[in-house]
Amino acid sequence: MKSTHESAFRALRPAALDRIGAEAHAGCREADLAAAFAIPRETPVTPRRLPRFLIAGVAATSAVAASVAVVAVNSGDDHHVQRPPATAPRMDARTVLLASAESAAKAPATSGRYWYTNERTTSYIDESSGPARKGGLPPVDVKLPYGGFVSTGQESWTARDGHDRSRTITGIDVTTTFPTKEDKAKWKAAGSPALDDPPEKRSVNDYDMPISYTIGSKQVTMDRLRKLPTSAAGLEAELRRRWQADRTGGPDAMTDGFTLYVWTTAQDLLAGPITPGTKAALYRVLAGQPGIKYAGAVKDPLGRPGTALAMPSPDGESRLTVDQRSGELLAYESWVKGARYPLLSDAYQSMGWVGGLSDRP
Amino acid sequence: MDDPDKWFTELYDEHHRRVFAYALANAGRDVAEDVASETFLIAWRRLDHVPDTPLPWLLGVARNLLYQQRDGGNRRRALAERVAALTTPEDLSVWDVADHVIERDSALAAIASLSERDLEVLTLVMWHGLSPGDAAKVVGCSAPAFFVRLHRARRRLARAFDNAPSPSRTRTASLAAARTSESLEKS
Repeated sequence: MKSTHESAFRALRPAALDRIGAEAHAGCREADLAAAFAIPRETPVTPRRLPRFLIAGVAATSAVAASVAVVAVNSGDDHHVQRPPATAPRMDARTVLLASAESAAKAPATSGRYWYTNERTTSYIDESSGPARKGGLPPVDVKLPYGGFVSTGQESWTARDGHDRSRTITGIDVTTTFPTKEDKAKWKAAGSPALDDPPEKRSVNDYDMPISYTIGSKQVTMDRLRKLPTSAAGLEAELRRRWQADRTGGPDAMTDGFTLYVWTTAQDLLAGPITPGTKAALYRVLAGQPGIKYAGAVKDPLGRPGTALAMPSPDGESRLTVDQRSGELLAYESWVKGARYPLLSDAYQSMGWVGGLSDRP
Repeated sequence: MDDPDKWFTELYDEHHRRVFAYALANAGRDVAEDVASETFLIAWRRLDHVPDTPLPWLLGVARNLLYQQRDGGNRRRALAERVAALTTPEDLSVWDVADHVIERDSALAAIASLSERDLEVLTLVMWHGLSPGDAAKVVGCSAPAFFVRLHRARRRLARAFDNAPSPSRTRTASLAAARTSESLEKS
């Protein structure tokens, strides 16, 4: 239940950071500028202004803590996704997104007391935090001689009515697996250290409070989420308004471009309790964004066939795997350029409305 | 950049508060002012190296300066300690009117149990407003690697908060509830 914990963490930020910040700016400005202008710059000024690349870091992650799964997940060596073929077929992202929108719009508009999600998250871990460096430099990560997957399941029941209890079960069926025998042997030789530190344990967590979702940096109630526009034009206008507000929203304004903002929002909301109309509209807004790439027919981390879409960044890309026939989001993945496996994958095993806590669709 | 003085002044006016706030979240006010001033002095000297989106670059410089300060005997203050030092009655009343998953004191105790590395990742995104891609530039790793760090830090934050006592949440369920969900899972 990310937004719940996050909103508490955000609220710990002392307001004094901004108040004293304004004082410090006023108090130091004259002296700081004078000190700078008194010394020569290191190099002559040359024209710069390079185009800014989109960063596909992706803030997101599901607004609700994810969830997951009941069904036994293949914890063997093939639970990572297959990489798309090197030669791109004649499909394009727009076609896939518009087809997904058509399918999503046909889904029945149902509702229930709890929005249920069941997801499985897998991290590929091949580095750990290194020691402190000389000269007071911050520590950097060091590569491990092996790599391994840590996979864990989560289920969540998010109450539609803020007065009802919500629940998550986290740390379901935590597994550690390795892509090759060599990796496993090297891990054993290193003393079989926990890849996830500290290791996650199964935990049932109840919340007697309204659970909110996030769009950009703002909290949104489930009720508000259910009332998002169902036309592409209406939803795009709403998202642009929110994006602008985030960009100019004071000391913690975000700098993402609109495409990345929509992409990140889609990653969160496509697994959330939005109406079929809003879901279709979201796919259509995505279809109108430049820079989203078709990444091929793939199998998701649970082995289900889907179509991967990618948002590239200079050092990797994030991917959404969708099922065009149902309009469902199957999985999210984060890839580093040239990597064998996704650094992180989140697969939605099931989601939908249920009538009671611990009910499953 | 026809007029470097003007450009630098705008850079300073636009970003000084955020660079200072970042430093103040990690160190006392005197150190934070020095770090912010030094960061902009370095930016002036290296104006051609400052990227078009300057904030991550500026925070990366400030971060290195903060580490060097610590090496010189000024231990970097733990985040919970900094929050406690900066807390005002306004913070307390703002907290109280919201419906939070945890009591404020318990939240401070819980974040004290998190690693500095996790807290750095969480604050860059949730306090200082950086996207994961921009925050990756501050700590000097790839965006996907940062995203994974953030993901794991969020989970550890959730665990730390869930394990803390709080009246607005029912603790890991009564035995009966746990049994119910377990039996449902098996079914």
